[in-house]
Amino acid sequence: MKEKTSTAAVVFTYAFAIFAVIVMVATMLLHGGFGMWTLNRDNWDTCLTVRSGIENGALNPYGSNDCYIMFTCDERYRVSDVEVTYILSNEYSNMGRQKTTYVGALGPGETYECKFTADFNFNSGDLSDLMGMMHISVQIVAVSGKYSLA
Amino acid sequence: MKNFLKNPNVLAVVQLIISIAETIVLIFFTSCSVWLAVLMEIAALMAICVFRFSYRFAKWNNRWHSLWYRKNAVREGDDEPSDIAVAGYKIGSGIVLVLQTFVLLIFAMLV
Repeated sequence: MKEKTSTAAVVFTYAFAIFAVIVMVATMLLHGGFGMWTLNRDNWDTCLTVRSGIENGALNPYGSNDCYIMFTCDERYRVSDVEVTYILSNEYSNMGRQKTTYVGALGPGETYECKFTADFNFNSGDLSDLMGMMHISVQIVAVSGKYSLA
Repeated sequence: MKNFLKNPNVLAVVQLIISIAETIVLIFFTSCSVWLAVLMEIAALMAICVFRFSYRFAKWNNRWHSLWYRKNAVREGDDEPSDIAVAGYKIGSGIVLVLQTFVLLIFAMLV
């Protein structure tokens, strides 16, 4: 017997195609329109750079320190409605809790700076570890928002 | 034109274009993980192959079933699959294809 195409397969394929096109167009319109994309945990680094550290000259190994985290938008992109959830950590401080910061909209090359205070407790360890105190690691947990070409 | 649209290769190409387009939309327009989108595209590609070659799959299945489970293997020509056997493959692969669209629908609603 020769293989034949059933009517059900033809109907299914074209019904599926029409349904899928409707869903795709609706998705694109709902998520900011054409030429605008959604930021997520996997793609945020294409248009955002995150830096963090302790304000210069203010390092106090036994007390409060002014720290910062900076989100910079790449020159080729602009972002809007950005919200970042991250964990800042340093083994000598009280950091480590999950924080959420609303960055909002950034143009090409623009930076959003978020300041916070961290309490350091350098009671143990070698003094050579002091440099390790200057380092704050940032772990990005979630990113939401939109990005488009500048 | 009517026969062209009914051609199984044309149906497979239509399904392929739609599934690739869905993956692109999932990656660039929603918060879906890239790995999840790529994984679903691989599943969709396999589903398209099974949908296209469902008759051959059903025939192979009959032959292997005969080889493993019958004392006397079926003769050439007796291994012709039933319509239900072919439809089983088509329904299974169709569900995998539609699943990708439903995942897109769910992520579309997560504004």
